[in-house]
Amino acid sequence: MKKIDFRYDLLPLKNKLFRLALRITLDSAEAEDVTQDTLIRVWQRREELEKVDSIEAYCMTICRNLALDRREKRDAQHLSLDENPIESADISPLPDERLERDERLRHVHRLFNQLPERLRTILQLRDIEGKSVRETAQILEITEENVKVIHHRARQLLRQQYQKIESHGL
Amino acid sequence: MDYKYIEQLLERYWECQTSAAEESILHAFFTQEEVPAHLAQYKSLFEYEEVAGQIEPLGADFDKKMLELVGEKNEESKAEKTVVRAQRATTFYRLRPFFRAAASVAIVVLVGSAAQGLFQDNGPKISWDYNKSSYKDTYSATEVDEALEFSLKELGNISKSLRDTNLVVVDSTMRKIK
Repeated sequence: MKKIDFRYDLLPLKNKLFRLALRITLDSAEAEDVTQDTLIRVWQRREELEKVDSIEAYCMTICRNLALDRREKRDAQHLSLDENPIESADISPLPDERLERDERLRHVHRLFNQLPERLRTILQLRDIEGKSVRETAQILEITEENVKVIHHRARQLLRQQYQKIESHGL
Repeated sequence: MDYKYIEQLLERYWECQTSAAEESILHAFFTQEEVPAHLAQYKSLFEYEEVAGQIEPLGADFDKKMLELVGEKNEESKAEKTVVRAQRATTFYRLRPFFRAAASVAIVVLVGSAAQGLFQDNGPKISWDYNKSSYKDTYSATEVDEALEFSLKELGNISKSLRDTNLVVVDSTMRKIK
């Protein structure tokens, strides 16, 4: 593979990485830090990466791992302050005007972010970024079968939420 | 209108049995303005998936920051590259465009002359001139008159001599008969 160029090969991935990091950390400042760390880390390892098939998948893997690290650290901090940390889904930021404006979209945003990390990451990769099962498996470093199972569970949970809304007439 | 197809697709969507193409049909269906009432609640899900994939909060500021962070190494490698390039720039490389131009001209000329040779193989064709007014005599009137006079005189001589011989023949046969 050709030499990796920071400006043309890595920088264009920034928003994709940011979206994934945000989905995991649920905090845009942290997501930005994770994106930055990911890009720098990949850039530092660029020589050994020339043999990697998909730089994008590799970056996403790193990004997810860094985001998970941060989350763990933050959760640990929370633990020391608060005995019962609550999932901070409702205060997660909405970095898009359209999401801010539209009440219905804001509601789905909350639905997504209330799911466990694994499920919402799968939804982010499969349904939002449009990654194939294979790419998703590569990024998450799990088997394709596992991707399918988790994806199915995530959609079932979403469906339940929707059915709840329907029965409550929201 | 019948929305059975969409309902079926949606059912399979929840079960993760839809193909990528079928999911794009669902996306197209649910992102249009008007969606039938009983399906309208799912509009937000597909719209959200579209919108969430387009969020791009990191702009030029982030690029600038990142390029500064990796800037040093980036510039070093660029400097190395330019040194190498400067050494390679010999007169041959500098004159390369001219060589190219010359080569292309040579090719055009070669092909042109070859084509000319091919098409002119049978020599130039001369077209026949059918215009009678442009005809020209290659003789003069006096010459014609002289020739006519001469040939008439000769014909006279011939007929005279023929008549004489005829008379002689007739005479001799008459004598034989007698």
